[in-house]
Amino acid sequence: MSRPLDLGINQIKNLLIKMGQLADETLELALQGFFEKQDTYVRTKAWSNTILILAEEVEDRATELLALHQPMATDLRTLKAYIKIAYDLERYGRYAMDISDIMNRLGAWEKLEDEEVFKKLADSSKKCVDISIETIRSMNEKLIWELSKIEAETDILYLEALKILSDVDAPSKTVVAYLLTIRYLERIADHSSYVSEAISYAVTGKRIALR
Amino acid sequence: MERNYYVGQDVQGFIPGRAQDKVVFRELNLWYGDNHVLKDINIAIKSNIITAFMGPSGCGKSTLLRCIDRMNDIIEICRVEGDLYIDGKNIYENNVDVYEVRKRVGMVFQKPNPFPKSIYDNIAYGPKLHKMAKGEGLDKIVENSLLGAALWEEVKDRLDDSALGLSGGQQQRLCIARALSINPDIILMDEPCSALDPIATQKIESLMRQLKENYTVVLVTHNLQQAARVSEMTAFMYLGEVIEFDSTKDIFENPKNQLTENYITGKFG
Repeated sequence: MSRPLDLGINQIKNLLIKMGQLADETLELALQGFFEKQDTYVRTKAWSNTILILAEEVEDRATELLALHQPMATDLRTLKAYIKIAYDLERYGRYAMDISDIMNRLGAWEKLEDEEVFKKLADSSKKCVDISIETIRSMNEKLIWELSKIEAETDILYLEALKILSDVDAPSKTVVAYLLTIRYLERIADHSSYVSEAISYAVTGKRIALR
Repeated sequence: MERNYYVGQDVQGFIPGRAQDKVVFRELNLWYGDNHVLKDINIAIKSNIITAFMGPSGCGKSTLLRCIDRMNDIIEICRVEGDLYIDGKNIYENNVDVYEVRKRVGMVFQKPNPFPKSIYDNIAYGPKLHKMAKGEGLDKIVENSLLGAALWEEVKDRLDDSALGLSGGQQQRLCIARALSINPDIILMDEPCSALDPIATQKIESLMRQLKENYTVVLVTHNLQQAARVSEMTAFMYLGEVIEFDSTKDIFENPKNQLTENYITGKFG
């Protein structure tokens, strides 16, 4: 027989999955806007704001469960993890919106001729987001190791992209646009690590730091 | 049943008299007639902390508590095997004076049970019985005991009033003061707040935190949140066994044993 607390925890989990899916779509749209030079800011902002509202709802519901049920052990760890994850997912949405905002702030810029490393970095960051969402869905803490590998690759690609930007002969507006974008992508990948660390802690009780 | 000890202290390496181990159970077993109530208890309770025993009804936690002052001796069908050391001295040895043991251990019960006497006489009863003091010396013991139980300010002007006229929370603090009056080392508390309202409970819990500065406090509680709030170490008991004994933080946040996890998350019990 399931406990009332189980119902509440499941509701929060479903909210997180919804947030994750929306954050994934927001990032997809932001990257499409960046590489295809489309203005996606209005939509990414709206979606990011929705994620923010959902994050607040997660926090409220988790606080309510803490107050009403005074959970212990796995229940307590899970709620702690969910509150933390809500923040990380909110950051995905915010960074995606920030990528879209670059065009607003800088106006049009010239594309770099060779975007291969930048696109690889975008793919890699997005893969990190996808795995982190799958980790929430499945509560499979073992995915942390798969994510760790891809996050490490993301870091390498970030440094590679940074090197390209420091050497490239391009207008400063172009460099700034790419620089901001790769920074946001690297941060998103970092937050995906935090998500999987939180799930691992909820499931096993052991703290693992991929950072 | 899975036997899986996670003992916070090095029980195997126990050396009688080691300062921080106040109460040490070694292979302690207890029977009521044919009923094997406590099974192979091996834990060490540190001095000057609060240790909580928790577990479902009938798991043996109160019986375990009563072993510490040999209160189970008064039950005819009770039989104890194994060792229980207080400050390195085995209190179940043949030549031990049970009354001396009980002088060192104060007990507070579930329901406040003041004597139908004045507030003063309730506290003075034990010291008089043990011929500890009289006159001004006795007055000082009463005052200090009531101060120690955070009750002095509330009753100092009416020490001759009946103790039965106090509120439930005050009566329980009076019982704590009575326990302190004989100058024990150890305070045992068996569900001390279960009959009290939240305000009185909060006062007793604050008092427990103060008491541990000078006493070793052992608490039996059904209230998981209370154990989590006040104790440093917690033992989870089930069917007469200590299933897990660890820091309270670990027990409530990250228990190692599935039975503990199931109990504290309300999946059984």
